[in-house]
Amino acid sequence: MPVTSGGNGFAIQTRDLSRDFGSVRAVQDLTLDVPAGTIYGFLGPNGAGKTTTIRLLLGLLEPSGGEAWVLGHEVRTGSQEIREQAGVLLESDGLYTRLTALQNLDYFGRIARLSEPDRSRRIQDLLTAMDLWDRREGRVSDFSKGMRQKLALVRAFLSRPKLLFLDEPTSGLDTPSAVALRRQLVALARDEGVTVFLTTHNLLEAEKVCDRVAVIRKGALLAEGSPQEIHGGRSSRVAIDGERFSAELVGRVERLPMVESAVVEPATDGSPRILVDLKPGTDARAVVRLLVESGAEVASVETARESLEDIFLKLVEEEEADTGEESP
Amino acid sequence: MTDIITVARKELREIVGGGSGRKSLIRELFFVFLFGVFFPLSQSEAWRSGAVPTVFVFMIPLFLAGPYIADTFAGERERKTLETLLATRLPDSSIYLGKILAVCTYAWAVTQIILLASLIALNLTGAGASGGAAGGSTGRWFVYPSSVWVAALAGSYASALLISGVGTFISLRSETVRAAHQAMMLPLFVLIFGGSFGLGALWRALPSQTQASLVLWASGVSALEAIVGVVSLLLLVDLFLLRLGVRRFRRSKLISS
Ligand SMILES: Nc1ncnc2c1ncn2[C@@H]1O[C@H](COP(=O)(O)OP(=O)(O)O)[C@@H](O)[C@H]1O
Ligand SMILES: [Mg+2]
Repeated sequence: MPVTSGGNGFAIQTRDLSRDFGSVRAVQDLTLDVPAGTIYGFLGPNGAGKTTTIRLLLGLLEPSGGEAWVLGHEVRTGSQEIREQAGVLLESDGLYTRLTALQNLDYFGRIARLSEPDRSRRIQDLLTAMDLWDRREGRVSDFSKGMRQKLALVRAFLSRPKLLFLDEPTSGLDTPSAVALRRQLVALARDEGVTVFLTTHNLLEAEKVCDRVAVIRKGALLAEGSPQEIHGGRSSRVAIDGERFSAELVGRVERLPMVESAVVEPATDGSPRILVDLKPGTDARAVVRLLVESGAEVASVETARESLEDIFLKLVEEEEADTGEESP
Repeated sequence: MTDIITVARKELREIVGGGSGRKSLIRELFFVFLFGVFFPLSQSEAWRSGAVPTVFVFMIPLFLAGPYIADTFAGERERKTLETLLATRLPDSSIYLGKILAVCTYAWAVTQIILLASLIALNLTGAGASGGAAGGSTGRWFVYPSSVWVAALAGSYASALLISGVGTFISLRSETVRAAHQAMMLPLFVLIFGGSFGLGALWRALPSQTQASLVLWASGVSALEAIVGVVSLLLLVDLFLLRLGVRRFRRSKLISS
């Protein structure tokens, strides 16, 4: 398979990428194409091989087999170039707790060879965007987990990377902090047009944040695509409650292009209800419009769509999921 | 070179910035007092001759640099900052050499402070001055002979580099700072005691004829020449260790363990 050099619109490509630790296959024949400019979710339970994959892509671990290109550079020979252009927030935030927020950022700004005025301005802009500017002189050891994670995100963005690796950026945060971090992350990423490779064991996160998702388990790829595509050609079902659903009307609903099938099936209390199966990636708006314009009364519309969670649980055996933090 | 200085700046910031805690600052103050005030005053004549300070400026950096060198990589690993550092664009050699530069410069600077403190202590008290007159009252300030200065300026750095070259190997292999500190005791012990005993044993093992000719040769060598010779030899060993270290330091080996 011809693998090209970054100019082809893919920020990351892997072909049968593998890594063993003794008898453990942490990553197994992984083949991925991560389009540039996307927020790409790498979803899997603990121990699935997410961190190992990031390490392989950064050239911090040698692959046992297969190949991988990041921003057009092969990981074995071009890891220096990869690290030049990537920003990271790894398993641990990597902040120097004995230094202040500013001192930490100053260090990484110098490492990235930002000029002095550029460095100061960039640090101020990013800290302000993350609501941390007032705490810039604070020592990191005094920061909460949420603040540290935000500061580490600032550090990841500092060098204006083309590609960001984020390893479970919201794990260990309480819900409000996680929601805030996610929002700020997406805003910054869109603003700067950066490709994000984000690992998570949290489905909701993948569904909310990511344009595309790869699901892995035991180092192997189970599914890949946009969250909609992962729903995998499965039609989604909508239940519409109301009045005056004539058989003729249901027939017209069924002939709508986005509708796979429609049936009248009274709800448990006997009130009229239509169940509509929609084709993948469509919604029920046109159906509702047709019903209303034809004189029917629509009381409620409920999507019974299968969530990514259902699929994730199907793909990943339940006993695998989420038993706390893995050992490093 | 910029990268090495960037790393060294941050390391020095952590060492001096007091962040590493009051404990190390107290250790350094203790060193300054012990070698800069207490010993010079209690053995003032030996200090004025230059013999004792010459030995000490080689020895003190070993103790000063040892703990910080043990901390270099083991500390980053224990505090979980190592992997993020390794994920930057910094070349392996800059990380390695930057850390060594910081520790050696620090140990060197504190050694100079100790030597200056000893001079001040000797002069202010006049201890050991011939005739017993206080240095200050005669108006003549005592200074060490030039061989002491060469040893202090160059020899102490060479000595710090030596322990750094050895210590980074230990630090790279240690999981925790504590383990690294314990493992550092061995090379320190070997360098300081083993060195002197070893040289003594080597001397005794020489045939008496060789001994005699060596003594004859040595009598023609000035203290300054001897110091320059020793420092050059040390620097050669340092260079070898650092080259070895740069070659052995590979980030892809640091994570997988
Ligand atoms: N350095 C290592 N040595 C040995 N085994 C490892 C190492 N790193 C990871 N593993 C193993 O590889 C598998 C994948 O781990 P990891 O990539 O950390 O998973 P995740 O990040 O998805 O939780 C696990 O079984 C883990 O125990
Ligand atoms: Mg992980």
